[in-house]
Amino acid sequence: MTDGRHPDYEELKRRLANAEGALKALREGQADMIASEKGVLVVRLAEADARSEHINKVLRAIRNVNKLVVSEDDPLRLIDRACENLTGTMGYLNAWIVLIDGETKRATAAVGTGLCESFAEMRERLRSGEFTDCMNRALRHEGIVVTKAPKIECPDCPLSSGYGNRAGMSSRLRHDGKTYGILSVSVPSAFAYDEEEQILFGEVVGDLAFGLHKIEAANILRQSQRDLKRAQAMAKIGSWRFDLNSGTAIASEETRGLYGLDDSEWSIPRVKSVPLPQYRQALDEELKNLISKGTPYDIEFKIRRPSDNAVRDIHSVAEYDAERNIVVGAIQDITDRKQAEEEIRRQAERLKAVVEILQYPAESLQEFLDHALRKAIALTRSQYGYIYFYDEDSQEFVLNTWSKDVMKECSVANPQTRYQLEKTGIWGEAARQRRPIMVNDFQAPNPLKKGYPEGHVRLARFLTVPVVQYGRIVAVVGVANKLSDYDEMNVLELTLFMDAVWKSVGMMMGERELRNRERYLQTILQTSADGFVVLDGEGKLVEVNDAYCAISGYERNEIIGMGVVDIDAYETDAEAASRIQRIVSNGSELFETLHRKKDGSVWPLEISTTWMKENGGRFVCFCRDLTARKQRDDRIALLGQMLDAAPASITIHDTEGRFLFVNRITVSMHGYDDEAEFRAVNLHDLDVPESEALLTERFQLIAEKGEARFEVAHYRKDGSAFPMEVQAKSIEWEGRPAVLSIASDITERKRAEDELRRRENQLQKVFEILPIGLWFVDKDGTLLRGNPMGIKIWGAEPKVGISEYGVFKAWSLPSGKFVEPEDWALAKTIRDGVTVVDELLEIQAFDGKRKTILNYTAPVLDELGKVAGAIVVNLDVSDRRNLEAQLRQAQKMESVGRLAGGVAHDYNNMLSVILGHTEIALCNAAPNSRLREDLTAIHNAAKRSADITRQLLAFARKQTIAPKVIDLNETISGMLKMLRRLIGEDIDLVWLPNGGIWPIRIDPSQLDQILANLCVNARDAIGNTGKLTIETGTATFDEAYCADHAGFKPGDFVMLAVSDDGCGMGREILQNLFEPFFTTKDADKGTGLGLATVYGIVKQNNGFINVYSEPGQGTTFRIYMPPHKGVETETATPERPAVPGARGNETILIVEDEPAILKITGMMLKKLGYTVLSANTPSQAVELAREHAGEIHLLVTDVVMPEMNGRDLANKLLSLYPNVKRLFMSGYTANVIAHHGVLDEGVRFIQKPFAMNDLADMVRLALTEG
Amino acid sequence: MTAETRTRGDGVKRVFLRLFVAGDAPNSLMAKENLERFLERAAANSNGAEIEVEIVDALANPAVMTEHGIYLTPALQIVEPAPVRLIYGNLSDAEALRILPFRGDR
Repeated sequence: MTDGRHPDYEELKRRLANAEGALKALREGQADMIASEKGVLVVRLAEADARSEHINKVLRAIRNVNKLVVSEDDPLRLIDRACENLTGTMGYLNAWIVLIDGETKRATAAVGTGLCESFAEMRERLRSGEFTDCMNRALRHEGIVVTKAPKIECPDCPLSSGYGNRAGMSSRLRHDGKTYGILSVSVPSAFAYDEEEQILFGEVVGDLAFGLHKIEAANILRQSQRDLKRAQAMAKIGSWRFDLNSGTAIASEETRGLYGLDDSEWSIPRVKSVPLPQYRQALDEELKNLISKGTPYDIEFKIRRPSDNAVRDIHSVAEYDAERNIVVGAIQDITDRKQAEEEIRRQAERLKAVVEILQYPAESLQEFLDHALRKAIALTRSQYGYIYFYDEDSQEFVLNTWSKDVMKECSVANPQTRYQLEKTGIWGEAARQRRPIMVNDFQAPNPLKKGYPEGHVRLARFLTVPVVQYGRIVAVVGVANKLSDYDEMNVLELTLFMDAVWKSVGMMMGERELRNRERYLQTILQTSADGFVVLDGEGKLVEVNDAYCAISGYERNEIIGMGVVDIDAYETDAEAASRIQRIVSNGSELFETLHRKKDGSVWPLEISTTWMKENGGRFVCFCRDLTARKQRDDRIALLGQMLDAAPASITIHDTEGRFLFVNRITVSMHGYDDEAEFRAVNLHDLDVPESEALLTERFQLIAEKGEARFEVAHYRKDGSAFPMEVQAKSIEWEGRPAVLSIASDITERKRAEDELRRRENQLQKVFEILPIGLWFVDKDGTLLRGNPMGIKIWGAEPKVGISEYGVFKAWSLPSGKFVEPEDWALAKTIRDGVTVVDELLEIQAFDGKRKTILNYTAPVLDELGKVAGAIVVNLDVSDRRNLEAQLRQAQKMESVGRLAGGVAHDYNNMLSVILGHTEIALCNAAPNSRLREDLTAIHNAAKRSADITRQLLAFARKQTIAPKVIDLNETISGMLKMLRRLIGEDIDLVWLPNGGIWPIRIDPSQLDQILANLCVNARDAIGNTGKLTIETGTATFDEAYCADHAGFKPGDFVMLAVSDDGCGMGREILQNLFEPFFTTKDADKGTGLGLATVYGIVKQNNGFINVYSEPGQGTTFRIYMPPHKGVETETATPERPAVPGARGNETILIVEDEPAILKITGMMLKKLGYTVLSANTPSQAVELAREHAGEIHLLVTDVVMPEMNGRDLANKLLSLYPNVKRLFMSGYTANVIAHHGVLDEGVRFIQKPFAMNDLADMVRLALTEG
Repeated sequence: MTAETRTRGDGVKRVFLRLFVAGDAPNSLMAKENLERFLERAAANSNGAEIEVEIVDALANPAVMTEHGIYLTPALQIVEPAPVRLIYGNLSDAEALRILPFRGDR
């Protein structure tokens, strides 16, 4: 303090508290004005925050404006350059200032930047006194007026278009209650209400207002100084007169007062001693010059006032009155003014220090702080100083810098650079108490002192202040040994200065960080393998890294400046333009395109680009070369397609059974549509239980062997299962063990295998049951394999080669020539490759049997057409040949039968005539007459002829029969007597009836014929003595038996066997046995019709005959008849009683187309007493019947007639004579009256030829019984 | 210079406050407002103490500040009761006013 007294501790504390309170208010922006003893000053606190570049820019703008404020003394230049600075640093995008005259309230000047032509109109309006809305608001309001959206809110303002989407901030430039004008800037609208933004803007406004005020004040001050000097000169505040003539000095009371001398003391030598010695000579010279040269006397000097010993500043002016030779002067005490001037100077110094420190182009932080410390020492007029960084969290000080002088004078060997707060002495108090510590009497006792190390410079006075950033102490600065006491002003200026220093530190750190980051990024970008280019807003390359150059083949200097359209080989200009637009509006985009290399080829790349608005706009593009990726992608895509196209399932699954990859067919194979759906299924769930049970084992196998092949079954989506064959391989997939499986659906293969097996089985079966011998032969002619039939034909399986073919014995048919081994068809086939078909051979099988076979051989050729083997087919045709013979026999018998039947009919007609006439002649011939003998011989011969024809008819199965159900044993028993008589006494007849036989249905007369014929033949075969056995029984044959035995029929049969031990028969006889007219007997003994008749009868009754005979061993005939299995057993109708004297007188109509028979039949009936109507044709008969007046009782008609058959005629006649009886006569049974030769019940039939007695009986029977 | 409300304080006979302001500067205006509001609220707690407030516009007379050892405005000087104390700032900080001999609680 200026009074020089040392205040006591309490006072010091109080002052510090006050200073601290003042500082706090100052920091928090709560201060309006700072006062010093002699003046008022306004401080500006740069409430800057370096948290965004915008703020930094604004700060820079503020710094510049600040500088302007300090240096500029012309208001117009100030606002002009201020606007330039505000926009030039990009702090604000536009800025305008209007200066307003405080008196007239009219705009006196207006400048703007960043607003183009629109500002001209603004000027026009201002000239006419028209203020914009924001101006009016800003003038009315204290603080900042925000126009959030000028374009919308102020459509009429000429400037609004220049704001774009930004907000406007306006404020009046007001200082010390006076408005100097209005500043308006545009800021991003988001920042418009930002407190910091507003604070900064407020700073600018304050600075500018201050600047304008300062200029005005300076002008006023200069004016005042001039006025004052004039006033002082005029007013002679203190006046004196120096008479050169007398050498006396007279002073006014005020002057004496100023000099501190009372009247008695006022003398020239005394007056001359008052000014401080350094001014005395100047005062003398000034006076001398005034007197001698007339130069103005105007001098300022200091005096030491004798009254109070105070040093005062004195301004003295004087004029020389040459006429009177006196000097008249005036003095004024200007101490206060001087001090005020000093304060202003110091304030300017402080501001300059702040500005200078903010602008100091430090190379490093250390250098900057060193410099700052020097400045701080100078600013506080101290001798020493230090700066310690302080970390609040660890409460630790780290020495940053000591002033050079300290290091020079301080002999502390190794100054400690780190201190814990608790260990510090008084200098740590700034951090402890969080406020400045000021000690002006350092040597006085102080409880806070802890002493300093040996050799430390001696301290007299000491001031330390904490540097606070955002509420945290970041450093402490200390200064010491100011020559005079430290005061609050030092506290303030040091604090302010350090605040500014730390803002710069923050900025520097930020900048350094930024530079480091830039360098770091630059390094990354240059060393990046990916290309990197930066385009300006026009799409021109402004930056490119080595990688891009390397890929594109351009040199860096070649490509810089090229446009994106020059290097993009894919997009059209329009596409590129729209893409640029899109990126600008969206901020970024990722896209793929093609770039052209220097050599003209193109390369695919993926570009990730970001739009940065700064510096006129930049597109920052990272270019990833996709060449390799495209190739890889193509390869992968191709592989994918291949995998998808693969006909097999290809999968990768992990050891847990989760699918990591599946190809398309896998999905469809399992009946899924969607891959994702399939992938969600675990392998465990796909395996059917049988497969799943083996899963662990499979995994183990794959793990051990690396791969495995196995079959599994999987479920499809629909729950059905299918078999798969899997080839699995252990692989690594994305760093984890996995299994690659290639699997195919083997359903078809399985089915094919099954089918093949089935066919093989089938073929094997066929091979086995084929009724054809089949042999496979290799190319050497060795028989490899034969089927069972082949073996059966040959009686054994001969394993022989071609050289051993001699073991086979064969004769070629029909020649019967022995086949030599080399002539074998098989030998030829093997040798020559020929195919032999239908070779008919008689062979002798290995079991000795002779067989007839058809032989086929065919070569099996290999792909070159060479013989690789042969197939032999043998067909055993022995039985067939027999059957063919039998068939031929049967056909022959049938034809013979037909012939015989036809002949017999005509024969019978003839015989009927012969017999009829003979009988009538006999009736008229005299007994014992020669005629009678002849007639009798004719009659016998005719009768014999009739028998023959009857037998022929029987053979031809044209016999008309009336079958009855009979018991064979009973019937045969009844015939034994007749049969014994037939065979004679020398032959033993053995009758062996079997009791369990079924009844049969047969015409008993036919049974007679069978037994009679067989017994007669047996008798003839026996010759003299022997045994004839008749036997009955039953037999049942199945299909298989019948297949093997020609002529046999399947089913149940009643058997009748007739055996003899006679001469027996050879093959030739057996073959012709049943042929009519075949006989081994003498011509007189047999007709050759006996067995033929038997054959016909058996066939007619659906039976069959088996003959077994060996020459010399006898013969057995077995006749098999179907049993009658009807419900009732029909007993044989009793023989009809003979009608004795069968005569009558009824009327009989005879119809016969054969006139001889008509005539003789008519004669017979007339002889028997009947009335006879004869008709030659049916029509004649019908006519006759119509014409006939009386009754016709009986129709006797031939069956076969030209016009109409007998049956139809009978039916016709029935209409005329409903009661007429019918008797049919025929030499031949036709189906006309009988069904299959069997007569309907009640139909009378008489076989031609007939004897008169027979006719009489039959007519009588028909008439009486109907 | 204006004379303001007079009321009685608790055990305190007289309270004399001097508020230094710089014209209509924002913080000065705020300080005036804050003090007025505080005193309004404090009226109920003053227990009859006589409160006098003198407002000094330092802008009009800068010398008055150095006279009283004041470095910046706004500043509230508690003249009575003794000892003399100073509060710098616009008085928006309620804590700062706690050194007053009565409370401005609601």
